[in-house]
Amino acid sequence: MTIGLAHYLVLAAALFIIGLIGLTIRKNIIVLFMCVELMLNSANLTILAYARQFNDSDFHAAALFVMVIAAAEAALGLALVVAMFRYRGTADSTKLTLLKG
Amino acid sequence: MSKEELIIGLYSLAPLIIAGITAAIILVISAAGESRAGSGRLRAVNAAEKLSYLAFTAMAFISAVHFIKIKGPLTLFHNAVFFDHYSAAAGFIFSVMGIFTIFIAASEMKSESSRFQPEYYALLLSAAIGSLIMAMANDLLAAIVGIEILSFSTYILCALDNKNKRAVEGAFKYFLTGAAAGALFLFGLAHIYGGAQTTFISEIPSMAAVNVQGPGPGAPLLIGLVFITAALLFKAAAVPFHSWAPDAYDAATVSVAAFMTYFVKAAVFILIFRIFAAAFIFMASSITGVLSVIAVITMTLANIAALYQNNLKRMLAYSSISHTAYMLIAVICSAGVYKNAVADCGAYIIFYLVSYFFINAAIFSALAMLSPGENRVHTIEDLKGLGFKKPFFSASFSLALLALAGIPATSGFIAKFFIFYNAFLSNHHALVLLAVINSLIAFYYYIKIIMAMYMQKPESGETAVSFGNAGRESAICLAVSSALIIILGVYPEVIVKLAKLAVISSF
Amino acid sequence: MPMLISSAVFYIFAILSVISAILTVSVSNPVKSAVSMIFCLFCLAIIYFTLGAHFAGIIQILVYAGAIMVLFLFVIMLLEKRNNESFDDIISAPKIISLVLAVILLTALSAALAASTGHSGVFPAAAESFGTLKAVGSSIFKKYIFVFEALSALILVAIAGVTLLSAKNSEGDNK
Repeated sequence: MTIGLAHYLVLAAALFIIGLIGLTIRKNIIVLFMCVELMLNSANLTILAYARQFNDSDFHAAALFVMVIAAAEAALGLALVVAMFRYRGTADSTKLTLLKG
Repeated sequence: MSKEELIIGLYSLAPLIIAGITAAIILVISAAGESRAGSGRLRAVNAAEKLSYLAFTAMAFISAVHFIKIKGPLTLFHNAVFFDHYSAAAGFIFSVMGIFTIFIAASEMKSESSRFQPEYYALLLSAAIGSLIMAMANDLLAAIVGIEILSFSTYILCALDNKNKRAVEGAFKYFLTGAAAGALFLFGLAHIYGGAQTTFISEIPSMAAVNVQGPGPGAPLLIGLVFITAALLFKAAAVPFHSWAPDAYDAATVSVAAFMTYFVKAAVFILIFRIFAAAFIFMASSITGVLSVIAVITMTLANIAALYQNNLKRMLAYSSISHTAYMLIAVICSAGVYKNAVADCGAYIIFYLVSYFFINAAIFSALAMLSPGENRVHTIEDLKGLGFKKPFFSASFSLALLALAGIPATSGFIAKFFIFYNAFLSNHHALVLLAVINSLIAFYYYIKIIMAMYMQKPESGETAVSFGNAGRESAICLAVSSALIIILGVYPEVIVKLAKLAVISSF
Repeated sequence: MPMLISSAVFYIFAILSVISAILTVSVSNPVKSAVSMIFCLFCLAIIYFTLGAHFAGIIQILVYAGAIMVLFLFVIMLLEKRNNESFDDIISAPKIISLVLAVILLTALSAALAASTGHSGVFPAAAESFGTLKAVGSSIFKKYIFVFEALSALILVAIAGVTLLSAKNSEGDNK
């Protein structure tokens, strides 16, 4: 059996959904964050699969840009995590209850 | 790239370049300043404030020049950006919003006890860079980079009030949902690329027509559109994706909350409308149904939630969510049946954004006058008995609230009227009916605040809030915005005409 | 590469990446979670290679697995103090509903995608320069120059934000 575009797209969709499920069921904020990274990777896989289909390696640039965005997001997010951990002493998202109403 | 292209490129990006350079200078100033407290901090804040005033004024001026001088739509940098009336108008609006935000922030920044650092202004400028990129983007990749720049600046602005646990927590919640929305957008972008073989807004319609297999618009394109719309609704805080908004508004200080209501919302809606009207109008019918349902649920839930709020900023957050729904109606109608639907809806969205901006500038500058510097929660009880003690303040604040509710002779009424009338013309009768009912519900909680001010006495006999060292800037901002609410309410034609001109020439 | 081997490579690494992704979101220890995420990123890098995206694959390993995930690990190690969550309190009724909804969404997405990509399943032959450093590099600096420049503003904001957030932390702690 040959491997084609659809295989890659379904793999990407599966990873995306796994990330989405993780976002809804996990509590540890760092893990929540990793789920977002997983979703970004699935976007990247989709981009690369379509680029292969269209024989358009120009669009590989987009995959690199996604990685830059992911890196910047990781740096900022982890700084926020550390800041929050210092103030709240927790990495559990269900304990973030100062803001209610 | 030829020399001519370079020159027109620099000319078109001048506002961006000014904002970027000024932001960098401010960062250097604040890094060079030795003391981060006391008079050293104040000096740096003053310098940064003056610089950012200058920058925003220059940006507004250049955008105005662009608006007058542009002949027709251009695309630059290998089609990555549009340079047209729409983007110039957006640039002007963002710059004015930046100036108002600095005014509102003045009392927070300049009080001795304030812990804000001069970086605040650099972040405002970088937010302007992000939103300008969003307004100019032709490439969806550029658009997502713009969204991320704007969002990053907003997360940090939210978390800036250090030593305040609530601020960091609110910023983190905002960050997490924002990051998820970014991932949704990129996943959608990937599928749009798969469906149309391009991510350029201007090329999507023609490429999609060639690329479609079988009947319908093609699954990848539809999936892409759905995911991108979901991501943008996240950023605009429409209902299934709204939960971050009240927390983030509550956690942020008054000026940042103000910034989030009008600035972020304007940037997101200007991008949403561009994507809808320029790229996906041919397949809009496949998602307008879902969008209408989302709009109705959004306004209903937000208005009901606002009814039970005692915390003013949370209430305003829910109110801003309900206004998202009204603007969404205009987006839905741009796919309308009648002639000029796109031009009308675009103009009405711009008018709504402008009117909403002045209303919120008035409301938040009033809040900034209440207890400057101190980031405490404002409740409705705090306002009891203010009515006749502070006549100017109470009258302007009430006027802004009534405008938010949509009383005739204010700009809020005209803005809503345009959108509802337009929806009526596009045969969305049920939608109009539900929106009108919702506006009536919303009256109740706006009136509740006004009643508290004029009709109720505070329990302790003294008013709960002090005006202390309320800055002159906030009062000026309140007066100017109140005047503009009335002026736009009586003479809306100028803005609508300019907006229509911008939309017609750009789409 | 013969057809059989390329199919085998795809299936092995696709299954491995899905398994490690599931582990990432399901194990209770964040360190294990991060390590399986790194493994998942490696598998994805190899899948990128099978797509001819050599540069993206290398960057995936160097930057993503090498830098970003190590940053995650550092932060986890820095903060790690008995904040594991047990799997028991992860499962609850609304979460099961969200799981079911997600699986339905996945099925719908996959079906729609598999049905609509009517390109007869096989990729067209790749051009000579496909995915080479030269091709990707020239597209970054020509076609996507604006996005590239805009990203520099993004990184500037991120740097400013990280410095602000951490600077005020040390101030708050020490003084």
